[in-house]
Amino acid sequence: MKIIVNKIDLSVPDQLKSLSLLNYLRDVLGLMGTKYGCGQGLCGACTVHLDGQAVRSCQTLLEEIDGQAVTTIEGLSVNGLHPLQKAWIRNAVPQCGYCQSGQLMSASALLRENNQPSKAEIREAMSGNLCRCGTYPKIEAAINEVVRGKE
Amino acid sequence: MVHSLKDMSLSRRRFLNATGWSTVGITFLSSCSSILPALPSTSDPVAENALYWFQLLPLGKVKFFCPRIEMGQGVTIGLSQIVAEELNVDFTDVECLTASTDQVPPFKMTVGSEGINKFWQPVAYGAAHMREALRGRASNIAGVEAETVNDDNNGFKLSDGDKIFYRDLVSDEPFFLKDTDMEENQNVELYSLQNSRKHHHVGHNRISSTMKSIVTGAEIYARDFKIPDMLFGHFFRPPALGANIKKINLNNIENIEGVIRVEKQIEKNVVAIVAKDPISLRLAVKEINVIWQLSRINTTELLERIDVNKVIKNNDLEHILVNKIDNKEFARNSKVIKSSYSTPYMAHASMETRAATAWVRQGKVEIWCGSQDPFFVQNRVAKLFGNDLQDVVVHSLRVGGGFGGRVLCQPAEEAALLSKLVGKPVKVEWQREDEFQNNYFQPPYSHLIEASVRSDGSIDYWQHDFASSPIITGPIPKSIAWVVDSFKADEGTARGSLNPYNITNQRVRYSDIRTEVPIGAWRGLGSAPNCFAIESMMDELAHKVEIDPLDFRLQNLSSDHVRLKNVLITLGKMISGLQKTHLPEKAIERDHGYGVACSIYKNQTPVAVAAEVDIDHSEQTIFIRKINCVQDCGTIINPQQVESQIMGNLVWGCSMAMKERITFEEGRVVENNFDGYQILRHDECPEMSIEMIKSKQPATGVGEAALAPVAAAVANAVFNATGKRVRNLPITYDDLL
Repeated sequence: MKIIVNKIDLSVPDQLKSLSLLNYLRDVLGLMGTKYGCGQGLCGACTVHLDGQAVRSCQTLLEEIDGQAVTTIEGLSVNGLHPLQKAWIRNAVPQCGYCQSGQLMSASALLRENNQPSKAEIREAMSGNLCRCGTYPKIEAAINEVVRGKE
Repeated sequence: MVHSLKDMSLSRRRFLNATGWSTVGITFLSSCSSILPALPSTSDPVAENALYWFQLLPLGKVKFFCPRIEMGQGVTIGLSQIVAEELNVDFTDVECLTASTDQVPPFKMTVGSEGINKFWQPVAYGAAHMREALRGRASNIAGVEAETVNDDNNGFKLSDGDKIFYRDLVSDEPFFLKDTDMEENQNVELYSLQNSRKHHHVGHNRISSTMKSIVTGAEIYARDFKIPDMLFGHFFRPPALGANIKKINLNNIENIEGVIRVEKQIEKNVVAIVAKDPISLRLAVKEINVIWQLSRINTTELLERIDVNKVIKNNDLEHILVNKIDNKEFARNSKVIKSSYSTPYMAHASMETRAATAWVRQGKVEIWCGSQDPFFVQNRVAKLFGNDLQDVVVHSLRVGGGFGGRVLCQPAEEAALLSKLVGKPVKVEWQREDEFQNNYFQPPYSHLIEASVRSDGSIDYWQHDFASSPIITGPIPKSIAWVVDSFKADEGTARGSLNPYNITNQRVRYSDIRTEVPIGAWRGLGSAPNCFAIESMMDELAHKVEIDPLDFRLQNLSSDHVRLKNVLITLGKMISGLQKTHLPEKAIERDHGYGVACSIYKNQTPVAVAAEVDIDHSEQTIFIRKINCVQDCGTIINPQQVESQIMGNLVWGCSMAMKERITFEEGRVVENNFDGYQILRHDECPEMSIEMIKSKQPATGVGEAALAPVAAAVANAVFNATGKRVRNLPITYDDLL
């Protein structure tokens, strides 16, 4: 089977097909930007894009995504920073920072689908990503800056 | 390459001094230090240590070995701003890194919101000495008097207008401070602390370069750390408190390729595996069956042991904080209220699950992990192997959320044990369930407050008794815990239990009862549970005499607390438009109300909070609509970072108020992942309005301050909305039925 990770075609040996996407990214490819948080799809720390949609990589098995394209935080923006990453820095959103890869992947998937989300839509789309430091208000502010910038 | 000046032969006496357990009163044990177990580092910073924190690099940049651990509280940013202020350099010229244990003298564990409060001055002192030593060098080179060498950006300016940059003053080797630099210049000017001076960094927002590594996924946490030839280890940790191994079935473990070692010591409760890669390790973990004998530890029984009513009945309130009940007589129109309040066991639930890599070779140990107290990790590993301290080096990585839960970093010891067995570096990663089951907890609190209030709003007397478990001395090993408990009242348990009100007749007593449940620091220690009880009772009293709860607090506030008064008045202005709705009947589907609460964190940081809640009876939900908060933390170095800390505390406080509780069944933590242990989610996060009082007073702690009053404000808001008083956390809609 094959998958595409951050625009690079990769062929996955049969013995690795049963791995979760999270373990494949971290343990096989060494892409450490995607984080383990709960292993059960409850916290969102491991969020990546699968064909542009936000998914929990800890709950995604490689054999289920044959031929699909995965984007991780390392591949979110190829040239310079994504507008969301810039807004995150400007607002000093991260505290401990551990959940922020997942937050950014969820936020970028949302804006890809809907570039003018309402406050309620932002809150709903982001509610699968836990942050213990309590950066939610700053995440919301950063997303809003990007949304307003597009107007 | 030279890393630091640090004298590697710190004497044992100096070490014991430096780790500072004298403050906790157990110095008498230090005479027999070889039998003393490893203890957390509690000694405050001293100026002479600042010698070791700075280097000027050949290109003129400043290398700052920060004596604080960064876990998101922004301390490295604030302290770097101070360094930049003292040395007249750009913020980006300060290269801040967390020192390894072999690079600087032991520094205090990073706890208690002390990073700025206690380290501003020593950091400024060291950086200012660096500046003056460089000025001396510049004056020698130019052949002029030091007085004529004036400050300039990134160096100095001579009276003839010539510039000497720092980079001109360093050769190929970094420049260090020497002992004599400090002795010669004891009255060095600390620019960052001079209020009259125009500050270029203090008081301004600065963004750390770490932000970029975080948002691009490049920041290395302990779990992301890699080293060549690294192996991967796993310990089968007890699935319950007090559980013992009954039986181990290794099954077909030898058929799993990549398994390097299986270590099995039933009598020591140890089963561990080392494998060459994480994939083989996970297969091996699944293959092995460990059968455990569970314990009988359960929540009901534990809570009975710390039930304050039982403690009172057994006459066992061992610690008396205030005892000024001269006169329990009160006016005829006084009203007496007696209420019990409780908060449950809670967990840190940091987003990063802990991990560590250790490499034991030729009698030396190297560790990479994220801990709030790397010197405690060093000490524990040294004790484990009987090594000298200098043979154990701990390298600190960014902590993915500390909140008190990372004073210990258990996988460091696990990885060290395994690395010693296999002779290669070994990484051990905890899973989420390990994190919930195997760390220490915030203890439950049980309070009883009796108070009497007159119709004019004055309080006749206040009797507050409470029971919980020791927090600061919680992590002390069992071997000495009984000695410590016999004479030590735990100040962490009592934190925030003295109310800020002017009440002549008062008695505050408590008991810190050690149980089988491991207890340790959790954000703010006792401040949030104690504030919940005190500020709930204040609300009950205010309601009883029908005085506005905010006015009632202002009226009773002790006259010493001018800053809290100002904070409360500011909050009052902020919420003046709020409608005071009190709807005892469920006549309509939605109720709305607000509640206030306040506290002074560690007698330093006054905070007041007003929570607004919406209650939807058809959906049976309580939603915190908005939190208004006013805080006075003295001088602010970085407003953006302080605001982040306040927000974080408010979110944490809402989470504590509405969601968090740990329970035990046969020693198992029932809520061992985020489905059971719920923390506040984004769609539950209230709107926030935050005001920081402008002040030139010394900076106080902000990392835990705003948390304390939140839960009480929410409970008071629920009362305001529904007329139903909820006295036990977490608050659920069922409490209203």
